[in-house]
Parts: sequence; C-alpha cells; structure tokens
Amino acid sequence: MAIHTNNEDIIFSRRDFLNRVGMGLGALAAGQLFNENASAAINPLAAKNPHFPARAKAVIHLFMNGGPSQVDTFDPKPALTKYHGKKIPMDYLKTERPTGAALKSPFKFSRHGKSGLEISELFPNVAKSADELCVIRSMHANVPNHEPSLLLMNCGEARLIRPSVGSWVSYGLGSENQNLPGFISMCPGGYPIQESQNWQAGFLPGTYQGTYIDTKHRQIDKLIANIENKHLPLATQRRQLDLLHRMNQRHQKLRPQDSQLESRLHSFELAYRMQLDATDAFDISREPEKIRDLYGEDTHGRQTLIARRLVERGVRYVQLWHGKGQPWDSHDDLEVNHRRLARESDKAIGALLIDLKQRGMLDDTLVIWGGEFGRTPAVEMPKPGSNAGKINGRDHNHWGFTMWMAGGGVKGGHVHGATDEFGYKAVKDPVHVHDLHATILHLLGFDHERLTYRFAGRDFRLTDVHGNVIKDIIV
Amino acid sequence: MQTLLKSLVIPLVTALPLLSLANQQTPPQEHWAFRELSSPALPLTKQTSWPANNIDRFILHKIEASGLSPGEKAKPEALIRRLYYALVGLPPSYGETQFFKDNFSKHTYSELVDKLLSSPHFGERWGRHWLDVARYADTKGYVFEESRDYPYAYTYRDWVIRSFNKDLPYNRFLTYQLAADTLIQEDGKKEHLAAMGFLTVGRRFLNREPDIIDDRIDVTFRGMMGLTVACARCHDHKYDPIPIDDYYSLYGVFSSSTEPNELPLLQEAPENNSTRDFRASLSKKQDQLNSYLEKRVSQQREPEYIKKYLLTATTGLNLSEDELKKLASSKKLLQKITVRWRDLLKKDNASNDPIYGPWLAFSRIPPENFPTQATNKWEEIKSSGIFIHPAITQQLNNQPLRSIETIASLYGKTLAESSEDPKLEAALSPSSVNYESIFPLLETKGQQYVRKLRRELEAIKTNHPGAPPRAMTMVDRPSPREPRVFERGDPARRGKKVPRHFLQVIKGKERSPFISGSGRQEMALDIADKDNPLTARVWVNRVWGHLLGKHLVSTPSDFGLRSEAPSHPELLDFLALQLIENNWSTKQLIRSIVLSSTYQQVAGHDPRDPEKLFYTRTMRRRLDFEAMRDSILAVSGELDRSQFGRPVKIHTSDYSHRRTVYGHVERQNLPPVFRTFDFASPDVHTAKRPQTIVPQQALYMLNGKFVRDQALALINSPEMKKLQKKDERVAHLYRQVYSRDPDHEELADAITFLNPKPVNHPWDFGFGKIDMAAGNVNFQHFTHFVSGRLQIGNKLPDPSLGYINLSKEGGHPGKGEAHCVLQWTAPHGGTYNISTNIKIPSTSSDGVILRIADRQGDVMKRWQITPGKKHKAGLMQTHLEKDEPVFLIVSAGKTDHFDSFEWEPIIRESSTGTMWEASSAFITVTNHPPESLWIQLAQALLASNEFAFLD
Repeated sequence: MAIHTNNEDIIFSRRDFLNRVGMGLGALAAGQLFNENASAAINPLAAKNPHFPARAKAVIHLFMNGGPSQVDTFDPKPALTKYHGKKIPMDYLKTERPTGAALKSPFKFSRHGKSGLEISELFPNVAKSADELCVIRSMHANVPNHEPSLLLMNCGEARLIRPSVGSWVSYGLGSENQNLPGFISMCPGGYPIQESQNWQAGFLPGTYQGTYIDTKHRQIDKLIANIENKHLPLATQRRQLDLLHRMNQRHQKLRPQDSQLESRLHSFELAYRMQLDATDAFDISREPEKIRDLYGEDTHGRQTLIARRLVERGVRYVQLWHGKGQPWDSHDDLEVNHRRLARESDKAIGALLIDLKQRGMLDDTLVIWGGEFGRTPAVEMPKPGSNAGKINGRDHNHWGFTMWMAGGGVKGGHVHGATDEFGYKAVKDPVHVHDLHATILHLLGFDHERLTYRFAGRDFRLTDVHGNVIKDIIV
Repeated sequence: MQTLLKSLVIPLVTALPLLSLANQQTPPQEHWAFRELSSPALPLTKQTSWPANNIDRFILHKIEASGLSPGEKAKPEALIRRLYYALVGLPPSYGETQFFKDNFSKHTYSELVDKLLSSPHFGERWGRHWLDVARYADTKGYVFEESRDYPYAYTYRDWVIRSFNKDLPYNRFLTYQLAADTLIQEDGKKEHLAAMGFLTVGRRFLNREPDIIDDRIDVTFRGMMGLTVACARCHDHKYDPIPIDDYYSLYGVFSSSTEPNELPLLQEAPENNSTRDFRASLSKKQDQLNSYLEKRVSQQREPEYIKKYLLTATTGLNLSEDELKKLASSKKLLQKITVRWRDLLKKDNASNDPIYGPWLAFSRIPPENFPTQATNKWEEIKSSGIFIHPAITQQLNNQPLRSIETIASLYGKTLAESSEDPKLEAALSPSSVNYESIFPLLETKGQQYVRKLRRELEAIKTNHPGAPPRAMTMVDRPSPREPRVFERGDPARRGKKVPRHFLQVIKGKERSPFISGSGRQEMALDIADKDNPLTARVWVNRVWGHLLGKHLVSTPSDFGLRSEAPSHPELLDFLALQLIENNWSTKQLIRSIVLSSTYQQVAGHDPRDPEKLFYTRTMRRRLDFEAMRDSILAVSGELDRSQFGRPVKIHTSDYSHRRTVYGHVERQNLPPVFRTFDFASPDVHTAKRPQTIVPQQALYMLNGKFVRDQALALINSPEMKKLQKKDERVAHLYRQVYSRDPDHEELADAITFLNPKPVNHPWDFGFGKIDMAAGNVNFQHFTHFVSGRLQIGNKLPDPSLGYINLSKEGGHPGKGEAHCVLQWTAPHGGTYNISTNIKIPSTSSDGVILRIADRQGDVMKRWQITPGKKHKAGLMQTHLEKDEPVFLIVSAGKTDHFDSFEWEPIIRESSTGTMWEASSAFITVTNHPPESLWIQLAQALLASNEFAFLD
C-alpha cells in the first residue's frame, strides 16, 4: 500500500515489530491504530487485517425497514390459527399500541430444501435457498418504536451518537478496493426514518460514514458525487492529470520524506481510476441478460445486483433498504401490504443467494435479512391518527422477532432459538441485537470487545458493555 | 532498506512505555493536570541567539538535552503564507508576499502579525476553531413534527467571531457562554446573551431532557476543562476522580435552567420595509394560530357542544374508554373531553348533584315514553327533596319537555350562559380548556394543523430577511431543582439526593453548595477561575495545537488520568500563567507563540526526530475544509468577504461565495462534501479534526462544479483578459494561485501543456465561409468545448453568430456567413470518395445548404437539404494532391431557425479502401480547444499540493 505518512509509518512499523515478537495487530488495534487524536493525514481505508482469520469478508444487509412480521414469514405459529379472533391465553406484553385478539397468518407455510425449513408463501424465491439460511427466531430489542430501534440495530445504541456497524467494519478492515467507498447504503426514493443517522460514522472520522445512494436513479453521476467530468473526456483529463503530477513532483522534490504529499498525489490517481471502476460497478447493463433476468429489472433487482457487483469489487459493507420511510410497517391491511412488499423484494433476494452461491462468493459474504423489530401476533386495535382502524394489521413487537443470515460462516438450513407458542416473545436462546452485532464482528474476524476507538476519554465499541457471540450458528 | 530498519528501531524505544502507560495508576492528586499551575524556572540553553522569546528556551532546552539542534528559519514567503492561514485562514496576495520578501525583518514580521491579529477575518478563523469545540450546527438533528431549524444559531456563531475579533478575555468568553443571562445583569452588555448558544445549539434528541443535559455537560467540561465528566453518567468515572454524584450535581445545575419561550431580542429591529413586513407576516400567522385555538377553546363551551357532550357521555356511560372515544369521534367531539364529561356524570353521588341529578333522572326515561312521562318526572324530582340549582329549575320550568334532546339543549343554554356562577362553572369543567391546554386534547387533524402553523411561524423567523436576531439563551427556573442520582443513568431509577456544587476534583470534598439560582453562574466562575488548574492549560494547549500542528498534550479534550503527559509540561504551565497574567488575552497568547523561533522554523521532516517530539521542524499540513474552499474563492477573485448573518448554502449548485464559516450546517444530514474534507462533526464536541486523504477529495477537485467554476473565473478575470502573451498569462495564474512567479521549468511545462502536439489525423472542425475575393475558404477553429459541442463561447446562442457549433454527430450553422466547416487534408496524393448522410430532424427548419468546396473556395457540388428525411450526398473519384484540403460546408437557409443537422462524413481512398470517419476524429480533436486548456491549467494549480499544503 503506497499511501501512508510519517506518523503512520511509525505505527505500521510498530505493528511489524509486534508481529515479529508474536503479538499481532490485534494488540494494537485497540484504540492505538487510529483514534481521535491521530493528527497526521493518512489513508483511513487502507486494508487492514482483523484480530483472527475471518469467515466473512463482506456483508450485505437487507434492511426491511418498518418491521416485517415474523409469524407471517419465517416463524410459523399454528396456535394463532387455533385462537384466531380470541384473546391469546397469555399476559399481553406492552407494545406501542393497544392490541386485541390473536390474528392468524393469512399466508401458508411449507417446508423447503433438505433441511425442511419452514417459510411462508411470501418468499418463494428465497425459499429456493432454504438450505443456506440460518434463521434466528429469537431476536429481541429494547423498545417498540422505530427511531430508537433503527438506531439500536444500526449503531448498537438507541439514542446517543454512535458509529454504525458498517462504519465500525470499515474502520476495522479498511477496504479491499480503494476506488470505491468501503461502506455503501442504498435506499430507493429517499431516506428511511432517522435518515443518514442510520449509516453515521458518529465520532469516527467522516470517511467511515456510509455513502448514501438513491437507487431510484440510473445515471452514475447521480449515484456518486463528482464521479464524472462534464467537460473533459477521460483521455483529456489524463493529460491534465499528468500536468498536475509534474507540478506535484516538482513541489515534492524540494520537500523530501513527506509521505502526505505522496499520498495526495496518489489519491488523484485513485480518483481517476475510480471514475472507471465506479461506473463499471454500478452499470448493471454489463451483466449477462440471464443474470439481469434472475434479479429482475425493477428497482430492487437493480440495487441488489449492484450490491453483488460492489461486494465482488471489494466493498466491505453494503446496506440495502427496502425503501424510503418505513415500508414494512403494516399496521393495517397486513395481508395486502406484506404480500406486496415481499413481491417487491423476494425475487431479487432469492437471486442474490443463488448468484452468490454459484460464484462461490457466498462462503465469505454474510447476507443479513431483517427489520428493526417484528410485529405482534395479536391484531392491532383501532387508534385514530395511528392506523386506519381496519383491525387487520399488527403492531410493532420488539419482544421477539426473526432475522436470518446466510453465507459468511453461518450454518445453513438452520433454526436458532424460538419465540413462545404465539410468536410474541423470544423464549428459547434469545438473541439480543448486541449479540447479533458481536456475532457479525466475530464472523468478520473481530473480537467485539477489542475493536475499540478511543474517544472522549473512553474506549468505545459497537457492543458497549453487552454482546455475546452466538456460537451455535457458526459452522 | 536502511531507513526501514531505522524506523523499526526508533519506535521500539518509544512505543513500549506508551503501551504500559494506560495501566499505571497515578494517585489523582498527583496527576500533572490536577496540580496547581507552577511558575517554572526558565531553562538555560547552550545556544543563546536562537531563542526569540521565552517559549523558545523551553523548546530549545529539550532539543539540546536530546542532542538535537533546532531547524532553520523558514523563508519569508513561507512565513507570510503560514501566518496568513494561521491567523485569518486566507492566502496572502502576490503583491504583499513580494513586498514582505523584499523587506523581511524581525520588525516587518511582527508588524504583519499585528496586522493579521487585528483583521476582521481573524475571528472567522479562530471562531471556527471554537465552533468545533462547541459542536455548532444550524439545526436540531432528528425531529418528529417541529421545525428542524435553529433560526438564531447564527447569532451565537457571530458572537464567537466578534469575541475573537475584539479579544474578549478568555475567562469572560467562557463565563458568558454559560451564564450570560445573569452576568449581563451586572454589566448591562446585552449583546453577550448570544453567547449562550454554546449550551443550546446541540442536538435535541427528540427533546429527551437527560440526553440534552448530557450533551451540555459534555460540551462544557470536555470543551472548557478537558474533563470527560459525561463518563460518570451511569457510574463513577472509571479512571478519573469524578463520582457519579458529581455528574448529577451538575445535572441539577442544567435541569434548574430552562430556555425561555420567547428568546430575547439582541437588538431592536431598525424601522424599515423589511422589518415592517416581517412583523406583519409574523402577526398575521400568529393571529391565524391564535384564532384557530381560541375558536376551538370557545367551541367546547357552546350550547350546541355542551348538548352533544352531555348526550354522548350519557349514551356512553357504561362503555369502555376506547369505545367511548370511538363514539366521540363519530359525533365529531373531542375524545378526551367526552371522557371527562362521562367521568363527571359517573361520579358516585352524581344522582344527587344539584345540576346533573335531574339530568340523570331524565336520561333513564325510555325515549318512546319521554313525551308522556317527562313532566311527571320533573315534578317527581322537584318533590324528592334533593337540592336543584335554581338556574336549572328556572330553565326547565318554563319549557315544554319533549325529548331528552330538548333537556340537553336547555342544559347547554343554562351552562353556556352562566359562567359567573361558580357552581355552574364547575359543572362545565370538562369543557373548560384554555389556549395552552387545548392542544393535546385536539383530534389528530387539529393537532397537525396547529403544528403546521407553528412550523410556518418558525419558518418566518428563520427565513424572513426582516426577522430581528435573538439570543438562544437560558434562564434559571423560578425555583431550582434538587438533583437526584439516576442509578445506572436510568431516569426511572432515582437514587440519593445530591447538592448542586462544583467538581470534587477541583474543589475538594468539602466544597460548598451553589447558592444562587440554578448555580450556573457559580459553576461558570469556577470553571473560569484562575485557580482552576485545567481551564488555562486546556486553552493554551488548543491554541498551541492549532498553530504548531501538534499539541503539547496529545488529547486536547481529555486531561484525565489516562491522558499522556505533556511533552513540555513546564512550557504548558508557563503559557497558562502567561495567559492569566495577560488578562486572559488569546491574541497575546497567539502573538507570543507566532513570534517564537520555534514557530518560524522550516517545515518538514527531521529524520533525527521521526515522531516530532522535540519541535525541530514545523508540521506541513493540508488546508482544512474552510481554508481550502475560502482560498479557492480568494484566488479566483470571487470571494464575498461580507460578514455575519444568517447561514448560507455552500454545497448546492447555486452556492454562496461567502466564507465557509457562514455555511449552513445541517446536523442530521450533513452534506457529504463536509465529511469528505474532515469537517468537525456537528454532533459531538470535536477535540481534533481527523486529517484524511481520500480519492473523494480528489474527485471534488477534478470534477466538482465549484472548482471548475472558480478555475473559469480565474481565466475570465479582467486582469487575465488584458494579457495576451501565453507566458504572461501563465505567470499571472501562478501569482494568483501561489502568490509567486513560476520558474523557467514551470513556465515551459505550462506552455507545452497549452500547445498540444498537432493531432495526426486529416480532419479539422471549425467555422467560416467561402471568401470569393480572396479565393479560399476562411477556416477558423472553435474556441470552446461545452457539453460535447465545439462552439465559440461558453453559451449558446452567441449574440452575433447564433447557434453555430459542431458535435460528434452533427451541428448547427450560425447566422449570416457563419457556416459549419469541416476540413479534410489528404495525407497523400490519390483519388478519394467523399460522402455523407445528412438529416435535419426538426420540420420547423427551412432547410440548410451543404457544399463541398476545394482550396480555392470553388464549390464542387451543392445540395439543398430539406428537413425530415435523410439525404445522401457525395462526390465520387475526386483527385487530391498530398496536403490538399477539401471542405464540407453547411450553411443556413433563409433563416437559421431549427437548423440542427446530423451527419456522418466519410472519406474513402478508392485504390486502398482506407476510410476516414469524421466522428471518430472528433474525440481527438476536441481534446484541446484553447479555452479548455487554460481552465485545465488553472484547475491543476488549484488542485496541486503546493496549493493544498502549508509549509
């Protein structure tokens, strides 16, 4: 890696030294590699090694914002059918709004793959890769409201300013591809709730923040800022860049041994190449028709295929949001809405799993699917101003919900944990969001207690003082 | 290899103690930062001529002790640049740099320092440094329904800038920011109220008080004292002597303070059309809001409403609350008020109530029996002996009692009209609401409407040019709150009571509690006290870091037990004491540092001091975001130097040309360009900005609209236009951008760049006409290349020649004799076929004329091209000598309206079949239109390391 500075030379030399005496990078990563008080200019995205050999090199997080219902997707509950229209025989847990009788799932579940994993009719394409899925049915979070739950899921803290998972990962691993941002968040049509706080760098340097891309657009210059020169063809720009390099080299000759100067010169080369690489990464027309058909040519198909192309090119963390606002938030007309939402995303997600697998990429790409919480098994009662009073939807439920992962070192065709008989609350092997984070970092090769950043007098980490790696789901 | 080995050995020595440091336990009272400031003896140095002032003696002493020697003095041209950026954040002009260079002396240097310290731009540079500390933003962060803007945040930003400009003593600078509300009662200086934005411009965390206060504690104590007090929110500080009790003592100070509903005016608005219009718009909107709320308030007490509430509440007497609310909504009544009515009627002794007793009795009569039974019932009630309010008796006695609705109407009338009577008023209590209390009772639609009006009110205050500035101040609550510890930081778990007092680490355990109001002023004075060991140390360390690029204490906002000890502890104390002695003058402090020899050393890397521990060089640094953007505007001549006022947009395509410090800072979705260039996070107090070098920065310099616009402005400046010769023009660019002349090599390189090698192909694209008199074709090159088109100016149409242009696929002839001309020069003698398709897409055109002409201007063939369909034109078997040109000329018909044409000129050599396509030559040709080359050169200068780095 050619980009580094005097200060970084020193740090990296320290690492060399420690490596020789057998301590490895892990010993130094804890706050010493880079912290708020590091002052010299460095390339913050230089690729780095994690604490131990990683199972996954990259993450694709499919964020079903709004909160999909677990009992209608991956956590079948026959008891709901039995009690449909009657009070559920248990103490109701407090969620955001009043709920009433049991509401059976309007969707049929069936078993898929060799593992016989139960998946509802909403996801026929995802179901084709049932044997790759590791379904966690015992997720739980802290509160039944979107804002704090989104922040908890993304940043490990519901209210205060903390870096997002993707920022932590970029900080810890850097990027394999210097011509693309290390962390990309795509959401068609606008922001989800809590907006860019969902991919914030918090107190980490700004370059670790997720780069937001509105996948409603198709032109490259709307997807990435300043990626195209509107006035000069590339060949002409090359000539200008050569002039700039000569200027910089003359300047540098009189100022030896300052690697900041070299770094900046080099960054222009990277920028030049980025124009080609980024354009290439986002241009799905370069995919064979067969592949484009597999994903579908709609917004979801497009952004999911872009995600695969990005990961293929070394981007570490890609987040794909279902859409602007909170689309999965089916307080009313759950059947109609969930059917529509699943139809919008199922084909693309199913394609992603198959495509990653056939390319051999699934082994080291971790795919995560889920929302910020799930939904209640009981029907939501009418409440003016907060629903349409149709009595056919479900309220938010943070007590128990489902997420699944695939690839990246997790067990396929596997179910972890369980909710109670009705799908209200995680009762068997509960997995808190902090545990999920600890596990994601573990799969990427990090001890979540040692991936820290010194800020305001404290060594902060993604999981704060919480988090246990879910050993059971790792191959 | 040798240097690699070296760099392995040296860090080894320094790295190990560093790693073990964290584990060492220093008793808190002995920790260097908590000890009182001590007046150090001035060290003796071997060299006596080098030190320019006492600062240098501390630095030199350490340099000598480690066997090193100080660096050389930087060159005058480097020093003037360094000073300009350090003190005002802008580059010096060429003229000033030359003058300074020619007249360089100790005296002119110190004159320059004084000049810059008194510049109005000084405050913009140093104010922005403080705004990093203060996590300044113009918005609140994420909100639900309220307006996102802080309409008056800018008054704080302006106060900070002004305070630096007038060198407000730093202790006063701090105390005003915490307690201007009470301090100005003593000194009467109302303008300082704006200072309290320090506390109030933070993120609002959806209005959760504990988080807002936590942010304020953090910004105050890390910012002013380098103490991470906020670490003690949930438990005693893990490292520093800050118990959780101390956190909640301070929490009590902040929770005993509040923001007034109406923020105080900073100055009386002048009387003019704009301010009059502002007041009118504001009061119009306010009236709209008031009258809506008043209408809803009075509505609840109208006879018709009372009637409906009574009837609905009675019908719903035994319904669940949810069912009743549903019923209320269906009757268009307010739910919560209906519930209040029902609760009143359901009270235990309601049947004996002098007012509602009769009503309840009537309500039990089945509706079908009402006409026949009501009168008897009324007599029965009256004779039952219960007391009936006379107003009810009187009303019911005189009316026919036809139905329960009639009774309800009579009740409505009685209650609505008799507000003088306390008993009747009490009976109406469910409908009694006021202007303040109505909002939460309103139905969703009503609440949304009120919120919308409130947002519109805020928008007028934010955006109306006549809105007078207000201070984002705080005041003490009428009675202070006695704080309790929140166990594990959880507001629901109230622990023991703690007094409001200052930190134990400073004041000792036996401190006395604050006695005046919230205690905020006392807290402020304790922070700014000269005996506080941290405050002065923290500030001089910040100032030193900004000037030298490396702090004496490497953690400027954490002086706690885990921080590294200062590299020069005596110097730190010396500067801190000097600051206090000089009446806390920041300008004096800066002055003494920049006058030191330490500061004036040459920049760069000293291989004998790889970790830069001894200050034998100064740090070469990249310009920060503000300096970079401001400098580009300054050298292009486009900088708008006006000061103060509302924030402006600096990232949009119609960006402001004002200094970056006046840019709007959107906390929730900070525009990417800020992040890309390492701007301080507006979310948390920033101790030091990171300095990264990433390709996104380079993309901005190469492709961003802002940089190109400014390069263009540089080229189009009046001075530049006056110059004709290329070397003079290049020199002018160097002077503008670098404040120096180019050397020979640089000049030659630029000239070579501006004269690209002629491209080796036979096509040439231009415009002109056939000149009969001269017997040739007058061929001229286009000068501009814009959006894929060669043209003669930046914009189409050209005022005199119209839309004339050529692109890869076609073009547009100009007015009169401005024709499109395509020239082809034969590479060798031979026979050639010349052909093209040509089409005018627009049927509104009256057609164009295509001619093929030879070098004498003789037309060999001519075609009239009508719009709509594709024509084929061509000349077979034309013999051309080597280097003989042939021309394809397109001119307008009667008018040039809608004369855009598409074509595909191809020339084929008959004998060999070799083809030359005009379209494939176009790309190569358009590489180098002259104006584009000048812009590219200017842009390269702006993007260069020399411009971006400061020696």
